[in-house]
Formats: sequence, structure tokens, C-alpha cells
Amino acid sequence: MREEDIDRIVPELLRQIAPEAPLADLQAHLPFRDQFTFDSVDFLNFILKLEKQTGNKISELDYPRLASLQGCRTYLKET
Amino acid sequence: MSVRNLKKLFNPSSVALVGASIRPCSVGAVATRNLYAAGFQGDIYLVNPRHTTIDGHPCFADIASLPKAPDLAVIATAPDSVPELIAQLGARGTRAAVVITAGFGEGNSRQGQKLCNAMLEAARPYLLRIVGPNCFGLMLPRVDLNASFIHLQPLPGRLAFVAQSGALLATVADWATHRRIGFSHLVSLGDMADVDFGDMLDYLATDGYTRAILLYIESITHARKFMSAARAAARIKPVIVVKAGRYSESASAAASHTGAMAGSDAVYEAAFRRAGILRVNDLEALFDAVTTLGVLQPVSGDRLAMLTNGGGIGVMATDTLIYKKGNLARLGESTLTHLNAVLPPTWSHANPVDIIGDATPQRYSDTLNALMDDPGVDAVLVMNCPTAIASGTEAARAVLESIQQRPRGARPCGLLSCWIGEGPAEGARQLFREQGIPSYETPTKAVRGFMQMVRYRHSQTMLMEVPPDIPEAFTPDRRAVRDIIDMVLGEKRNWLLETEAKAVLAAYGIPTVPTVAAETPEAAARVASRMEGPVVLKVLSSEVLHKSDAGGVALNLETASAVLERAAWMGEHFHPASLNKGGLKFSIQPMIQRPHAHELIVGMHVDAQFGPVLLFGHGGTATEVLQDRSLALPPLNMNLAHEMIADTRIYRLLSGYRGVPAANLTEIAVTLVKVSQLVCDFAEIAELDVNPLLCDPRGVLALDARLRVQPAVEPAGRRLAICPYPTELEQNITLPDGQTLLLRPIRPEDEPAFQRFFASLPAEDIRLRFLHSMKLLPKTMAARLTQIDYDREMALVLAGGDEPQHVDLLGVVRISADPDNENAEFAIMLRSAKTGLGLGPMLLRRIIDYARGRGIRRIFGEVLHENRSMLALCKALGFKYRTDPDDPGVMAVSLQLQQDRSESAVGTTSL
Repeated sequence: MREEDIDRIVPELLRQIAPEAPLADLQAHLPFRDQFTFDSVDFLNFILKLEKQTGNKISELDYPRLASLQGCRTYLKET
Repeated sequence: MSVRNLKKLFNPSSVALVGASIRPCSVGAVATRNLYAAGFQGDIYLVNPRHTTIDGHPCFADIASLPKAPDLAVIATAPDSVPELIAQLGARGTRAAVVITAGFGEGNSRQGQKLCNAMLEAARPYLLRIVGPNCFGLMLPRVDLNASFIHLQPLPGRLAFVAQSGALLATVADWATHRRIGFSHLVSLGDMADVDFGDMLDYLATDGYTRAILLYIESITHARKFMSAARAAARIKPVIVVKAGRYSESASAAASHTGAMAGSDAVYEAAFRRAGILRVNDLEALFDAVTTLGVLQPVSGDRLAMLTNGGGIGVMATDTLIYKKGNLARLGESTLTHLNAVLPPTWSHANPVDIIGDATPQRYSDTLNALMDDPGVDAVLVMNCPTAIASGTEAARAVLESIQQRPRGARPCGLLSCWIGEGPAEGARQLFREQGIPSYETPTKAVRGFMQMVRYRHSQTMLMEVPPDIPEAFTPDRRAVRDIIDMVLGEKRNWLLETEAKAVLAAYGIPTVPTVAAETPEAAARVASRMEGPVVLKVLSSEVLHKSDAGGVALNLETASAVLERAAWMGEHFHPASLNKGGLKFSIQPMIQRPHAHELIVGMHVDAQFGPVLLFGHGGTATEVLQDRSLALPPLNMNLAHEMIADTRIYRLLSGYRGVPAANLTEIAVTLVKVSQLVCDFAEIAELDVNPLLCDPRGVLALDARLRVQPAVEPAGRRLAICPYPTELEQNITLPDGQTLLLRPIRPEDEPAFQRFFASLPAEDIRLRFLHSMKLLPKTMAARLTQIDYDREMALVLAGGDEPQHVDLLGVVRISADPDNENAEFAIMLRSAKTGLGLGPMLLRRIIDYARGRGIRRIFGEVLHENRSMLALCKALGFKYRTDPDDPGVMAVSLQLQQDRSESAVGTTSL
């Protein structure tokens, strides 16, 4: 997946899960949970939406890699 | 191999006796009489086509005519009829049967075996559970059920006795009933075609009414299942076993020292010890165990005080106590002062406390109170020999009154009694038993009973102990070992050459003496000339097993010419062997001379029942004569390895004596752990001898090793009786900040880290996880949560820090499955600092995947209503949830992982 697509899709999915989140200022290297309220359930919902969006199953062992925008970029570029 | 439908067996509401009879002295007639005489409150149906009534009770012609399906059927008809009866009973809805009938393959009868298979086939579609065949029946005195042909009605009590032999069951029941000792279950398993010891242990472990379990075992089936069930049961209640067949000739054919010394009975002994089961050796000791356990009271230690009216029995009891490695309590100063005040001047002034033959009841109670109050006393054995001066019965009453009058909150102290003699003494013993105090006929039996309590306590402590980490980083070179084994098997060999065997040990970090192979005597001499000092020359051949015995070892050769000469002689001597498998070679190694070194043996042998068994002992060429060895089932940890070493006689030499320094015991233990790991890793290893393994204060050194391999028939882990640590589940996890964590199964060694993890959790998190507040994690619970049976449970931890020395646990997820692997309870804990990084969903998903892979059908858990995030997470993962009807504050959540088995299998599990 291209980086610009990732940068578009990830904030969009985050907006659906956490509508209050200040996504305009999203910092790529900080975990989402350090920038806005984002608990385990939000995380799981994010993963489920990401799987639906990309059509790929994400191994649970890789979940922690997807905890920040930069993590998503690295991971999704590989897949 | 299951506890399913055992509830029907042990808690039936109706019973049918198929084969009820009026023929005097027949099994059917006695069983009929017993069923009615016991006073069973449920429905009883007699079945026999030849009668319409038996002893005035209605009798039905066949299964089809019964008014309803009985919960339990007892079958005492001809063997040929049994498979069809089972099929009919199953079809009607019966789920449990006791087959008393014999003739199902005892003595390897082929026809009988066929019948047995037909019977099991008939039962299978209904999951109908069968006790027997060829058994004595079943007695459940608590529900007034006697479905056996025993000669008496046992009393209700809280002991369960399960025996392979019906005759033994009857003997113990007879003995106990005359002493007014009762049972919760008396089960004769007979040929164990279906229900076996593992099933019984699983069932009885969780039966709230049973306080202790006694087993009479001749052999077991399904070693791994037995070990899992026994370990689980022994953690909950005392399990005592009498194992018959202690001497067997089966070891004589073994090729290695280990094989020759690891007799099958010794393996049973090792398995029982590992499970935390107490073994007793004969019927008398079993009777003592029944006496003790029938009125079990825990003891807090091993210090015994004795109170007697006769010096002689005090001495005898002390002898037995010391012989059994017990501890004679040392009385405190204040106790002695008190006793001086209340006893005549001629009293013994020490433990055993002899209060003299004319002891009055008052003297008994004064002394007993003083002893029970002494903080150095864990239990008191009160004894009485008959005299013409004082009444034993009065003394017994005085003792009982003292106990009853002891203030609530007085320091706990165990009490045992021994009233010697017949007549009045028997009455006194009965008085004690009725008051819940074990009472014995002889001092020896009394002390043995006490030591059983002590051994039980010790085994419980051992089960809870945290093993230390192996003190050095240990990363075996598995690839190197795999290559050697493949090469040897590829050459159609079984025995490794000495040099190959040593290379295997070296790959697992076990120090070995440098050993060089040479093709010819001349080459051997050249190798020797390059080594410093004298050398050892050995034949190097897969064919010569005991080299020293055959003249294939020459020690202390000082010159190259001596090596040449000796090698040439060996070449001649072993000529026939040299014709096979690639000719004769030689190995040359430096002669190791260490003044204070001990020769040890470490080995492994595969037992037909329990799989690989490890051996440690006094090594050298005389190892089999010395017979100083201890066995243990792998996998080993450092505690178990130390225990193995301490179990031998040579341990006392290894600990240092008379100017000889102590050997490096830690290094020996580490070597045992490494050998255990080797055995756990490679299913091809069939036999191993490291003999001698030299040991001194500097460490260990393997001087010789023999190893036999054979093609593996199953994965390495599967052949072990105890499921080893599943290394394959280890996974690295990378956090967004680059920190790497290890997701891995929990280990017993994690207990300190687990305690730290628990202490770091906020009180609210703990309340949400354990459903109640808890400030400290009790030691027993910490042990239970870290020492798991990987066959039935799994706990995955997220470990950070510097593994393995400074483990930092960040989260734990676990499942605990029922013995049938049907349902598993799950639980999760995560440090709150780590939430929102995907670790919680990751752990839950991981354990769900694991459970699914194990064939578990459903996982479930309890979540407090206010634990909204957990409930939401469960919902997102597809869990169903409902309010717990018994506790509205709790939600029961569950996730179906796969389809249930047939309808008959559902909803009948007792756990």
C-alpha cells in the first residue's frame, strides 16, 4: 500500500472510532493512545476496520506494531 | 479418558441390576441382597428373564421392559451378553454401567478381547461409561448404594478408595468397617477397559465430600493422563497409593546401566513422587493410612512429642521415628518446669515423656496440655500400655476431655493416640476414632501414621516451591545434535560412537573430556604422543557395549609405544566386532586425575509406561553393584534436579566429608537439567549413559558417554509423561517504541516476577480480575498460577526485561481446560500503562487461537458488570454474555470455538 493511501485511510478509520480525536494534529511517531482516548476496544475495532479496508488478515502478534501512524505505514507498506 | 458421565456413575437416581438372581451364593444373588440391604433411596430395577420377582421385589425380563432408563446399570450376566446389553442400555438413555462379569480378555484370551472391544464399541455412541469388566462393583455408602458382591455394608465417610483388585477392596472395607471407618466411594476398577485411575482422580479431586483418596494400583493406563490427574488431585487433597508388583525381572534385558537400574517399579515411585502422591508399601501401611486419613488433621511440622505411661513403648516409638527420619521434639524450658511441677520426680525429664506406670487420668491431661502448648511441638502422640494400677479407659477419657476443653484459639497441635492391648484398649481406640483422633494398636503404626502426615505436608511444600533459574545462559546447539542423529540413523546404526555421543553432550553445554578418534593402532599412538601426560585408550565401536568389562579400556598409558601395543592387542581381541559396521577404531583421551573427584552416572531410559526417565547415581564400573540411584521424570528444573541428587547415598559424600571438599552440586544439577532438555528435544534418543561423570569442587566432566537412537515415532514432547515447556509458543513482539517483548508460556521460575507484577497492579484492576479485593497474592495461589500443567492449562506472559534473570511481566492471559478439553476458563491481566497499544486484544486473540488449535470447544469467563472495557472487548471478539443467575453483579461471557460433540456429550461434565 502506498504511504499517501495509508495516511488517508488510517485517520479516517480513527475518526470513525474516536470522533473526538484531534486527528488534524496526529503525530506519526506517537502511539494513538498517547494523543487521544484510545483503549483496547478502540484498538481492536481499529484493527477490524483496517482488516476490512485492506482485505488482509492481520496477525495478532503484529497488533502492537499498528499502535501509531508510523507503525501503520511501516506495516502496511510491507503487506 | 474423561470425566464425562461419571456423575451418573457416582450419583445415580436409579440403578438396574442386570443378572439379578436367586441362586444362593451367586454374584447376582449377593448383589441383589446388597442393593436392597444398603437402603438406596432411588429406584432399583432387577432384570432377569427367568423371574418375575426376586425376594419379593419385581423383576423385569429385559432392558426394554424397564419403566425408565436407569442412571446406572450393574451387569452380572455371561460375557457374551454384555455388548448387546450395553447397546440396549445406551439406546434407552443409560450413561453409566458397572460390568462385574469376567471373561473379557484376562490372560490375553483373544475371544475375550474381541468381546471387550465389542462392549466398548456399543458404549461409544452414547458415551456410556463403563467400570470394569472383571470387577467387584461399586459402593457409595453416602448415598446408601452398594452395587457389589461384598460381604458387608461399608459405612459412610470421607475417604475414597479405588482399587484394581476387588479382593483388596473387600479386605480394606472389611478392616475399616470393623473399626468404624467409613468411605465416600469404594470402587473396584477391574480391567479398566474404560474408567481408569486418571478418570477417578479427576472426578474425586473435585468431589467436595471426599477428603482423601486411596489407590491400590497394579498398573496404570495412559501415563500422561494419569500424571496430569494425579498432580491436580494431590494439590487439592492427600492421595495415597499402594503399588503392587515392586519387584520385576523386566530390567534384566536392558543394555545400558541406566536401563538395568531403572526397574519399572522405581519409575512408578518417581512418577508418584513427582505427582505429590504418597506411596506406602504394604497393606498394613495402607491400613495405617486409612486410620490417619479417615480423621485427617493437618500437621504444621514434623516435631513429635510422645506421652507414655511405659518407658519401653516410648523407646520403640522413638526408634521408629528416627528410622523414618522424623524429628523428636525438644521440649522448651517452661514446659519442663511445668511438667516438673505436675509429674512425680521419676518422670523421664525429656521427650518421650514417661509419666510412669501408675499414671492417673489427671497426669495424662496435665502433661498433654503442657505439650500441646509448647511452641516446639507440632504433634503429640499419647500412648498407653495396660497396667493393673490405672485404667486405660479412664486415661483415654481424660485425654478426650482435655482436647474438648482446650480453649478456642489455643495453638494448633496435632494429636495421635496409641492404646496398646485388646479388650478395654480396643474400646479406648474406638472412643478416640469417634472423636476424630487417629488411634493405633502399636507405637510403630502410630509413628508411621504421623510420618505419613509429615510426608504429605512435605510433598505439598515441594509442589509450591519456586525453582531457581538455571544459573548460566544455556542455548543448546540443537542443529549439531540433529545432524549427528540423522547421520547415525542414515548409516542404519543405533549406538553412537563415543566421540559422537560426547559431541551431543558438548552441544548441550555439558563439559566433556577432549576425545580423538584414530583409525589404526599407529594413528592412536601418534595422537597419544601429541597429548600431554598419560592417556586413556578405548575401542571405538557401536558393537562393544560395556567396554571396560570386555577389555576395551586401557587407563593411564604413559607412552606412545604402550598405546600402540595395547591398541594392537585390542585390534586382535575385538576382531569379530571389527567385521561389522565399518571396522574397529580407537579413541584416545587424556587421563584425567582429580584427587577428590567422584564418579557419577547420569542417564536416560525409556519406560514402557512413562516414557523417558532420567537417572542419577553413583557411577563408575561398579554402578550396578552399588545400586545407588534416583529416578525422575523429565522435564527437570533446578529444584527437581537437586532433589534427585539429594535422594542418593552418594549425596552425603558429594556434600563433603573429613577434609574432602564438597563437590559442585549446582553444576551436577545444571547437567541434569541439560540432559533433561536434550531428552525433551529429541524423540530419537532411546537410551543414554553418561558414566562416569566426574565431579569435584571445580565442576563436572563427562569421561564417557553412550547413546542409542532409533527413528522417532512421535514428536519429542508427546512421549513424555509430563508435558514439557512448549518452547514453540515463544514469540517476539515489538512495541511502537522499539521495545521487544517475549510472548511465552509461563514458567514456575516466573513466580517472583509474577508477585512483582501483581504488586504493581492497581487495587481496582485486581478487584476486576479476581472479582474481589486482594492485597497480597497468597503463596499457594502464586504457585498455582505459575506452575501449570501445559497439557490442560496455558498461561502466556508478556515478558520484558533481561530474560531470564530479571524478568518483568507486563501482562498474562490464561486458559484452564476441564480434563476433557471441552470447556476452558480464561482470564487476562495487563499492566494499565500498557493499555491502548493493542496488547490486550493481542493476548486475548492469541489465547483464543491457541484454545481453538487445542480442540477446545468453548471458552468462558466471569466479568464484573462494571468492567465495561473488558465486556466491550469480549463483545468485539464475538463473545456471548449473560448475567450470572447466582450473582447479578457478574456477567458470564463465553465464546463457542467449534461445534459441540454429539448431543449425549453435552452438559454432563461434572466440572
